[in-house]
Amino acid sequence: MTRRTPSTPPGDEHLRLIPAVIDREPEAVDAWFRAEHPEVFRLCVGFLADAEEAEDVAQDAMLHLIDNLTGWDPARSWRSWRSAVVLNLCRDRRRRTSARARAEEAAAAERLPAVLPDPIAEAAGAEAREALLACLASLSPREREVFVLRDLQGARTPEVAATLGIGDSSVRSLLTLARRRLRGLLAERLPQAGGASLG
Amino acid sequence: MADSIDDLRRAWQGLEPPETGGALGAQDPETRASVDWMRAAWLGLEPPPTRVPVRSGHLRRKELLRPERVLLRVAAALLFIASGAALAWKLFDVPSGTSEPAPAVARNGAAAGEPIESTPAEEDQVVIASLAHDHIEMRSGPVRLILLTDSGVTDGAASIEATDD
Repeated sequence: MTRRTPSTPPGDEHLRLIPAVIDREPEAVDAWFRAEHPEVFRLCVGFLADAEEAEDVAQDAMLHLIDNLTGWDPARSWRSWRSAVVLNLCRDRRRRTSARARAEEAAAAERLPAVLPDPIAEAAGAEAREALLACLASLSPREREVFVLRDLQGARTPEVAATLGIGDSSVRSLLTLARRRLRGLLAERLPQAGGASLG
Repeated sequence: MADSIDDLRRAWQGLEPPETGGALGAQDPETRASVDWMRAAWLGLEPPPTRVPVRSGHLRRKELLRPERVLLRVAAALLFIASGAALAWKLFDVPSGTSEPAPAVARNGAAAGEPIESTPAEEDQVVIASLAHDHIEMRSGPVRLILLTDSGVTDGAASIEATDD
């Protein structure tokens, strides 16, 4: 089998390890896993709005990615391919826990504090995480998927559309709905300093 | 003319729709601040310490099992085995005498091989076809042992009833 070494954008240098990961070279697997796992975990949190489920699915996703690395075409965006894999696993999990997810979605707003903590402040980490999960849970699954990929991960609209298998216009509509809902939830709770803005 | 139309078609197909609904910069300040807060909180998420043996060259699903899951599976397996054992014990150890008449011995001097008279209460549970020469018969199920004297008269005081079910 001939393997092409993937071209790697800045920050994705670990993708050069993929051929070695496919060969199960321990050092490569180690480095690649440590580089990928945080982002996969964050994606799972975003798609599932549940930290415990996300932790579990992230492990499954990492194994799935390792086992299916040969199926990735280096001509295709790694981020897009990885997002699609993670998304499918999260959807499978969500189908199995849909009843509980609906209940949490309904009660999400009640879990939000009156004033949101500064997410950058280390001391507020746990509180910010809880608020983040509550906000994500308040979105519908499709809104959440679009919002995570587009606004949190930073993918462009066509990439999001391709990952989700929907049209660009649907992505925009869902994104607008998600943002509107989040603004309704968060606007009055944002820290007065307004310093959460990251540009 | 045809070339011009082809050029126009290519240019038209190459048009990118504007990101009117996607560009965050075009949103109102409250929306931008809300999304920024979400992004900052999301990027601040730290995954829990990995349980994956990343040093292993060959990852297997079973290596990733959480300890609590392993315990659950062991408990379920033990429960399953215990249930199976109990069921097997019940199936193979149930007394077989329940469908058969309970044994009894002759009373009042009935000779071996002779039909035995029985009281109505005993008729539905005791049928004896014959007697062994030692007047003792052992069987499973509800059992009545009756000691017989030499004269052939039942010693009522010495009779013992036992059930083993």
